[in-house]
Amino acid sequence: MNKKVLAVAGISGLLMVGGVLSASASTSGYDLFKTAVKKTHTINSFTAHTSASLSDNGKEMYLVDSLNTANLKDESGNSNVSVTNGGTTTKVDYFSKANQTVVKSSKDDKYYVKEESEHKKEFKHKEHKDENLSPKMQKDVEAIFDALTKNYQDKITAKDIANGNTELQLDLSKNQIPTVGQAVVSFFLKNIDQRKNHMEKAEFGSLQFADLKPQLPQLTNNINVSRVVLKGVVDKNEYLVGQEATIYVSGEDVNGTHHDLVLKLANKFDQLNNSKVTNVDLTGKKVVKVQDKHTGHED
Amino acid sequence: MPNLQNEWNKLLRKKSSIVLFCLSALFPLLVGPAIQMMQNKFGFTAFDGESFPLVILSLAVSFYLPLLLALCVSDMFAGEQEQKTLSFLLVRPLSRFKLFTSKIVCTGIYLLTLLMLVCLSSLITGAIWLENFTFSGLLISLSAFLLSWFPLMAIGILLVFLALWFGSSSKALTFSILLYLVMVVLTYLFPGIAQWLPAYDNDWYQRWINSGFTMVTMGRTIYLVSFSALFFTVGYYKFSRKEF
Amino acid sequence: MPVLELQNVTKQYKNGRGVENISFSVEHGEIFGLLGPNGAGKTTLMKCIVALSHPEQGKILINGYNVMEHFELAMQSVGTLISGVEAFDYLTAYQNLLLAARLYPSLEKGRIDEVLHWVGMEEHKHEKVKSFSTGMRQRLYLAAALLSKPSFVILDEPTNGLDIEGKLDFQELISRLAKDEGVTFILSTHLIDEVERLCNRIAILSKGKIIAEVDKNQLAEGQTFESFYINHIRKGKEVNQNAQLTK
Repeated sequence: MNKKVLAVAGISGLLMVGGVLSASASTSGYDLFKTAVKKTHTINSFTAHTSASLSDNGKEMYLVDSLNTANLKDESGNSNVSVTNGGTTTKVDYFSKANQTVVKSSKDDKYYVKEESEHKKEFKHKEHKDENLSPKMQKDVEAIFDALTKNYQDKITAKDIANGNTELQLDLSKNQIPTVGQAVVSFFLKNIDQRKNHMEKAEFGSLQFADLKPQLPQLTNNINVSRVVLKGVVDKNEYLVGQEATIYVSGEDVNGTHHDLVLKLANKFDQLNNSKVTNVDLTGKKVVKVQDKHTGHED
Repeated sequence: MPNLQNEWNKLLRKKSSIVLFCLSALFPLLVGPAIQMMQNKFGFTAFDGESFPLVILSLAVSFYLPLLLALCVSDMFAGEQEQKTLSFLLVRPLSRFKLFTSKIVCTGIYLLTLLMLVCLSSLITGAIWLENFTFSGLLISLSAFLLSWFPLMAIGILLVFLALWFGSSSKALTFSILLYLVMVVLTYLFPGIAQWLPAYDNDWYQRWINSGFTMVTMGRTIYLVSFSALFFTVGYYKFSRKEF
Repeated sequence: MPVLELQNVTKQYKNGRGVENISFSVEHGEIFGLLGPNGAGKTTLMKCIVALSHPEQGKILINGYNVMEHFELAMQSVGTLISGVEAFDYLTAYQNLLLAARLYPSLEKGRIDEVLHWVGMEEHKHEKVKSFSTGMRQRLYLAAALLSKPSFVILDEPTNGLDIEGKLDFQELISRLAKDEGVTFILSTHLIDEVERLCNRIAILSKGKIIAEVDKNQLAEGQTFESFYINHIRKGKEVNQNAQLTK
């Protein structure tokens, strides 16, 4: 009888090992994603083409398109942003150095300059340092992230595309989206009214915030995220060079009209580690100094 | 299996089992309208009629059902040993293998009944109180509840093995709960270790909904089945050598 | 073939108690008494016979079947009452017997009422065991032992907690079953009058060993089981004392 027990225990033990190993062996898409994220975190400079669009029942109502160059080492960067909101397009150029931000919008020919005090700069610097977690903490965070995503990891598909790049994709339908995500999105959409009132007063020179804010339909009923598609492109050096998220939300407004909202966020990285930030030359330009409005933060 | 009927009758004749059955059935019925009120007040939709059973399931598999399992198992093994009633059936023509198997099968049926009760009442709640109740949602929920039986049963068999080492149900229960909590914590802090423990798969219905039948779900299925077989075998071995 | 046969059975507990090298057999139709003072190892031996305990050495055969290997076959026609084995106290007397009855497939349901009547418990059959006194429990356990119409019954301290009337009823019942239905009994007890009245053969167990065995027919003129028992127990003590003195 002992032999029988030993035999059954042995066989089931071996099968158990086989099961665990075969399950953990095939999450390569997720592993590639993690490696790429970690590697991409180490870059010093990049050029990024970022866009965001929002459509309501198939009609595009909001589009942001921007080209950004950034050098993380000396904290300088510039970006050219164009916002198309309900048919009208506003263009804004940002230039930033360690202690100076310059904004130029297409509405006028003035250059708005904001200087940051030393105090704030230091504060900012400190904050930046804190973002770099210690290796141990990084590991803990990674473990928790692994655990939270464990049911999604093998859903990630990897596909080889041109130039030795690999495309990773995670496509989630309604019942696959975590409840927390559903709650946050629906809460945000339902309570967007209150946020609008607070933000609308903010302005930066001639630039009205309202020009840049999308006019979302006010959803009140049956709000749910019906689909989320996440894509990532990893190049042959294992940098995450492309990211794309498409979020499908459906719901009804006060009148009972059904809305299908599609939010698409995309980002492409280029010229990793060898992007040159061009700075704006303010000589001979109309310069307006802007005071920091949030003085309360400084003392 | 005549003793399966014995075990099932014993379980049903306990007041605590009836109370727990009622609680399991009432839980979604009470939570449903409460959630609906909260959603209206704070303006969010975490779930609707279609996904409500799944939310209830995720709550049930993480704490409620493992706790009920631990209660049932510690009482059925350590508790009966403590009260010297285990041998009441053992001195009849009933082999230890049959007694052990019938107790485990009974635990399995108990677990399935609990799952189906929670499933049914959350489906009803979803259909009555929440918007967007669909037939496909019903099918998904039903399969998710059925799938959840496997990891929970693997935990149940592990707890049986542990209960055999204790001479009192309260000790066995305390230890089972502690062990379960450790397994849950490990899942979040050391997934590499936790993938060898069945609590890792508690919410594996989500994995099935996400990916269907893949290499990973197959691997985890083999793992759960062989884990159960392993602990069933060593559990039986321990049980067959026990003296009363 | 003997109904029960023990061959060199040894079972030692860690605390030093237990039984050592026990051999005896019980033949068909006998009422065999296992007699011994408290702590002599009677219950240990009884638990070994029904495989609740596992002897380290030796063999136990019931109707020719080894209880460690073919437990179900060995126990097929055996009724048991083992002290320390309890009924489920959240169930009624009837429900407890129903649990046991399910394990004998050929048994008809009416049998439960019959054995409850035998032990005088029919009016308490729908009461929960929780509310029973020790004597009532003992009656229930006796009913459980006789439930399956066994041809061999193992009784371990069967009259524990029974009142005088209960003891008399018990003795009558056992004698009747032995005489009318030819049931074989093994009975462990420390009560000599019980043995005197029922048994036709006894073995004396002391400190884990069988120190004497005698058939009623073998007793000398005027000798009873009681005098036989007392002689041997006293002798054992004297031998012990002498041994200690010579040390």
